[in-house]
Amino acid sequence: DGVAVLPAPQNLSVQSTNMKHVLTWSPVTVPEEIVHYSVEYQGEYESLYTSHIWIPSIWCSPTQRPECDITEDITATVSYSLRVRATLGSLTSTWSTLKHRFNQNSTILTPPGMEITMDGFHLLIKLEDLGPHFEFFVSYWRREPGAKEHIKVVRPGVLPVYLETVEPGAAYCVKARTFVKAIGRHSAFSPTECVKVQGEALPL
Amino acid sequence: VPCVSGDLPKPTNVAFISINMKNILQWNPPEGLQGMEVSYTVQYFIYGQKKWLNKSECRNISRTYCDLSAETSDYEHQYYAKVKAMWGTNCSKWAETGRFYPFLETQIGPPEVALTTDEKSISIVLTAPKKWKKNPEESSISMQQIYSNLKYNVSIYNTKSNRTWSQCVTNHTLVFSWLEPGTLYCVLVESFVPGPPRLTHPSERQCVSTLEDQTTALEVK
Amino acid sequence: GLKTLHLGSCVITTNLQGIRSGFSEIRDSVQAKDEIIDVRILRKTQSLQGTKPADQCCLLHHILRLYLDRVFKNYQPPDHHIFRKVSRLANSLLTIKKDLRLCHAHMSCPCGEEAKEKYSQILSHFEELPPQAVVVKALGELDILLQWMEEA
Repeated sequence: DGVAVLPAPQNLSVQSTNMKHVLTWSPVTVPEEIVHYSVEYQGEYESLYTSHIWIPSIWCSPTQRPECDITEDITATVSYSLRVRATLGSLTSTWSTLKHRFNQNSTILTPPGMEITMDGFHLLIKLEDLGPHFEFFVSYWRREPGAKEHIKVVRPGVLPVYLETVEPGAAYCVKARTFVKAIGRHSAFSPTECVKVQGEALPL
Repeated sequence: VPCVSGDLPKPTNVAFISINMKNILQWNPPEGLQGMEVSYTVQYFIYGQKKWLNKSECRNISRTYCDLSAETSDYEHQYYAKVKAMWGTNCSKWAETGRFYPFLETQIGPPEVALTTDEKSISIVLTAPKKWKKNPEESSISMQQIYSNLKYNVSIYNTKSNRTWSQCVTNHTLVFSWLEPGTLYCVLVESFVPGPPRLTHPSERQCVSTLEDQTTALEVK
Repeated sequence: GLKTLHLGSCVITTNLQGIRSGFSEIRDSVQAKDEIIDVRILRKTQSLQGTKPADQCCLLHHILRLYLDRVFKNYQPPDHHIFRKVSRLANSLLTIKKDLRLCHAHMSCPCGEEAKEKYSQILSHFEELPPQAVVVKALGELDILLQWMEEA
């Protein structure tokens, strides 16, 4: 190992939203020099069974920026230990380890973006592409007293998804939330969106 | 007459092509021997057992494929196959597949799609793809019976509004009502089994037109 | 959604589909390294679904412990890509084993004779082979184990 004369990166922390996880730290600055960083991680398995083994992060071994997208490193729902060190030529800092282990089940789940459209008398929903982890629970109903609420599970896809055949003159409302199988959690519902169907209401 | 092994280059791209449990071993002729009168011999192996087994119908054949569906039909098992080329008294070494797990790897073919229309609706009746069977007389087994979580992704293209939308279903009949009269709609259906990714085969795109609006037709008379 | 494993009176949920997709990414390259094709560790006669429900939890618990203690620990990945994928599998199976341990703590994971007998057969197949070869073979047979769990 190189002589540890570089200061170790400080203030490690992870920001995680919608299963995208980013590790950040305070940069180590050396005038007129470019400092590189290496990130490594250990899952619970490695900590318990092979504690001497650390796995280099897929995107940040090395990197120049004081942050690292660890989304593809954190791939199981266990607690992960993360560490960073700085290097400058042959000079290497000591490792700095994240104070609290990170588990993806703590990710912040935001309500999904959605676009409600009609094709003739067919109510369609297009949902924000949040990646393969996500399924969507779509709730929709006809806006009238006592209307029944329908739930449809929608998988990620390119095309708008058909929800309901609607009647002229009626109004329909939709809201959606995400569900992440890997962590067994869902987001809050999106704001409700309502659409009015063209045409004369059908006689009762 | 035993041939001299190793003088010929091996067949290339040896792999199973599997759709609805019809498992065909396929390969390319050895480099440089395309068009020559090369013959091939195939053997297969059940992972965990002891011997390579012959496939008599694929001994000294000139074609570059061999149907091993019957030999690889046990869902619990995994298989290997290998093929060697022969030309005159020379033959190649064996060219071998990787481990083949039909239950996980078979591609799910598209369902049969029957469309009927009336003025403002299209009825879609899906028939699950059929599993390969040894004899035509055998009763058919649907892939749904093998994969109980088989689903269908139905996509509909409205040629007038130029919009396409989809619906994921497990049942075999669905009706799209309140469509636009006198409009051409195109339907395409794909079977899939949730789980590890598999190649998929969408159905042929079928287009059908809803009938003209009968009320305006009457007024015209 | 999530897969619910019914193992006798032990019921757990897991993202089995995610684990299977993870394994399918390395399956061909791992299996290609297993050249002893006339030996299979996880055999049909010891399958989970062929075991009476009451013993399924114990059998699976022992098999997972075998994988965690002796397969993942001794596997030497050829590159970082495989290393990360194997780490994902190890950590994912660790969460399942922790759930089974909860069942064990709640007395819903009994070890009957059938589970003991089948596990000892699996262990004997495992110990038939040289250490490094058996680790590669066992890792290559994860699709069999995951299929057993799918059918549980």
